[in-house]
Amino acid sequence: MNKAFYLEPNKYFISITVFASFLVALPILSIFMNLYTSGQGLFNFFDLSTIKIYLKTTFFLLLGVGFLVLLLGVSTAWFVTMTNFPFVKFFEWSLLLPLAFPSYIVAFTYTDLLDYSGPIQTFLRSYFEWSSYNDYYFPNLRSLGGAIIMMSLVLYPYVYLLARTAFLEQSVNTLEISKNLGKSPMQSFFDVSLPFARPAIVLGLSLALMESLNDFGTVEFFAVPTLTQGIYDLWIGSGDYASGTRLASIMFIFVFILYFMERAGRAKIEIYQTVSSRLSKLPKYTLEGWKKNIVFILCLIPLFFGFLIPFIFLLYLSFTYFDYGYTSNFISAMFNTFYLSFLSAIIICIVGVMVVYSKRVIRLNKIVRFLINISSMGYAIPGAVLAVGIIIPINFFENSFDNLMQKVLGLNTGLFVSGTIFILIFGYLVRFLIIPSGQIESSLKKIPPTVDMFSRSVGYSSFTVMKKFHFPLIKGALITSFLLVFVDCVKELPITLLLRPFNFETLSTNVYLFASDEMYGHASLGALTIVLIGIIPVIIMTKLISKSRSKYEHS
Amino acid sequence: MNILELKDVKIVNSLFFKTEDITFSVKKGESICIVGPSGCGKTTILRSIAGFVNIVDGEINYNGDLISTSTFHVPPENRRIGMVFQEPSLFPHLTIIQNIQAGLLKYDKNDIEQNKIIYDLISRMNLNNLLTKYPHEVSGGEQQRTALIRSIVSKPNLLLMDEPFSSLDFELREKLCDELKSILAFYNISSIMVTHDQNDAFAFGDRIIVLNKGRIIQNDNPYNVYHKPNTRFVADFIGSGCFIKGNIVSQDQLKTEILTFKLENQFTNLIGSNVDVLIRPDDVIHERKSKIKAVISKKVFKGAEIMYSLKLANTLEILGLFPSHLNFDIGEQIGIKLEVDHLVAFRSLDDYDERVI
Repeated sequence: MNKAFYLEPNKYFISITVFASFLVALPILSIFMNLYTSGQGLFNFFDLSTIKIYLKTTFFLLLGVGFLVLLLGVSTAWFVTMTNFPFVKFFEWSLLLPLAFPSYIVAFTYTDLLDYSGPIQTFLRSYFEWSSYNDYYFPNLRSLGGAIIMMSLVLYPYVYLLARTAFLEQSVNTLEISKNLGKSPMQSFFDVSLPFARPAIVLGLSLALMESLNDFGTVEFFAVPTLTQGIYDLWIGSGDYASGTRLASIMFIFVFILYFMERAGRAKIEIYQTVSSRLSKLPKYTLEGWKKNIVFILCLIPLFFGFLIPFIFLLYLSFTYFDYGYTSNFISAMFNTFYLSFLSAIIICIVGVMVVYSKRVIRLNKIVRFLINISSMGYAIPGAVLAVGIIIPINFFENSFDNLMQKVLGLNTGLFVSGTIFILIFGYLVRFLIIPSGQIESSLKKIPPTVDMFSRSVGYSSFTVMKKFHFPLIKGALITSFLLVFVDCVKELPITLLLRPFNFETLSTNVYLFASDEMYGHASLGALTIVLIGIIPVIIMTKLISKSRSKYEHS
Repeated sequence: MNILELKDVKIVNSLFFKTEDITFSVKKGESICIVGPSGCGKTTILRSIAGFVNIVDGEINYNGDLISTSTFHVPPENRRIGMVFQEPSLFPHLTIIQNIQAGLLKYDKNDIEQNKIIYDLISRMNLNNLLTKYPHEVSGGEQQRTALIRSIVSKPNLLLMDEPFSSLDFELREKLCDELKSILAFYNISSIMVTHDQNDAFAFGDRIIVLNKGRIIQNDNPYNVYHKPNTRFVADFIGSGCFIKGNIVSQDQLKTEILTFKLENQFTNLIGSNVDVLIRPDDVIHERKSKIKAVISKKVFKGAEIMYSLKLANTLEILGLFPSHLNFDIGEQIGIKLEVDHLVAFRSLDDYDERVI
């Protein structure tokens, strides 16, 4: 049933929604504008060859991460879903655990672990009685390759999660037919399962690549010159806003490719899901002998390196350097993080509900629809670019307001918005709005619009309809998205770093600043806290998966 | 007394499609069916009556009150017109009985009158055993029955139904249609049902409104819509049948390739004109000794009857509906007779040209 009806709209509700979606769309639009209005000359400090290096590095970073997350994500997902081997139940959920690590934390943990002065090399030197760096070869983690491995270790769960869901949802009929035709497990993987799961895999891949494009901490530690790092260098390092903005515009090429890849994946998934309606328990292959051991080891590798090693080492560091970590600085950063993330999550969820509702109950005109669509793009845009996009219109507004006030009242208002906590929350809003709006929209889809129409025809007001009939259905989505947004705000680094008020420290900036000074001990407690909070979404996703699983297995 | 009156109502559906000149009324206790091909504006009319779509011209009166004009528009929650949709549209988080109770704006569990109606409807619709189940635990037919009860418990003066039976299988819909009709009669509720299924329309409607391209083509009782279609479009759309060519040779004679019909009325002004004569399958009768011979080219078994495609000598092909015991084989030659009680003929191929005979 389409949305070919509209209800008496509440004027206040519409104006607030329009205003909110305008605000959220503004930074994205302002970067679009900059694509065309790049004014005087080329880049101030950077010549074309530097830009080429940024582009090349970013390209190879995405290529490398893409390859590794596909390899790790798809293979583990298929083994866990389609085969039986020791501890398969344990792997089902634990393979998601690396998601708890922001890539910058896993990067600095490994840096400390594998550095010249770190425990591994110290042990090797004392064991083999090498005396200096020249006596042996040890791979350098601080390289493009290192960055690719670090990011892949914590980003493969995106592919794992979506591929696994797709494998679970594939029709038993097609699998049985493929067995009936005499295909081996390997053949049915390539001929049946993989094509069916391809849209989901593409979706997971694009999400993972968006994250690696967004990453700032890892590339900064490893001095890998990606576009994100370039923006930060220009912006903070040399205060060259114009070049930073232009670099951000260039980055949009990557953003667009990933964004459309993701959209295409989602669109296909919807088609595929309607095709396979009959779902029942999947026929699993039981592995014997050496095969089961190999699969066990293959699944253990990403878990071991993506979670267990960094987690245990982080625990060890936190206990050893507890006195360096647990300071008044840490406590205030922790407090800041909590109230900032809490406040942001509440605001973002409220705006999310409003956007979803206006789309549902009001026939919106094209401009508002366009704004809402643009405003849902924020998650695809790297934090560093987004920060640039926020500062441009805000500064423009502040300057105009300042000029006006000086003319009219003789007052100097200056920059009264930028550098406040509100700008930071606004940045989070633009980036994370899709989380609540996506979650709520999909749970509201369970109620066709005709239910609303029926309720209105009985005589319920639209507010009563929302309170009595919609709220019970979106409550779960609301809680889930609140938690997810909260955790993402805690983990978020580039936006926080670029938009925070002067001297305002959160856990993530604290960890980043200590780590970039190579004070890993100091950083460890904060990092451990972030990782522990980061486990929350892993638990949520595990629950969601097992729910959908039980749904299929009972039917 | 008219419960509902639409006068020259015009609705703009989209840039390219308008529903126009909609004028009809519904009497107390009357059941109306709106039929037409998909996309003809049926649902739009229903929604404008319920208040979900604004009209741009004309007026709608309900219970003697003006509820819609181009400028004035009573919101749906103040109209209290019952509505049932194609999909059951139940609240997924409420049980069957809670869904039914949600049909009353203020349900009071101590209200004897309310409960009497609820349980009367539940037992008429045979849902007694399902009351504590959730919508996803019951069948599609049971969901739709719940939705019907939910819209009837408040005893609205008018019930609007948008293809309520379309997702149900044939046997079920006939039964449900019957049940519904007796309930509506018992509570004296008027109703408008939108459907694209003529069987539903014939079984349910006291009156049928045929709609095409946003306009009312015919508004009459089922018998007349079938036997006296006012345009070629209605003749085509309602029931099956085919046209044979004919010529009006004198003021009371119509000559076709098969036989010559005697006209009851005088059609002096039409003498000499070519017309297309509508032959319904039930106009064709088997008669062994008839001079008109036909060859069976196709047959579709329908249980009590068989629909035959009959090829006449001059490559003309017509449909004939015979009782099932007249079982012929394909290729067999039989004798037929035409018994056309209501002669229907059109002058041109234009859909909207009015019937001449």
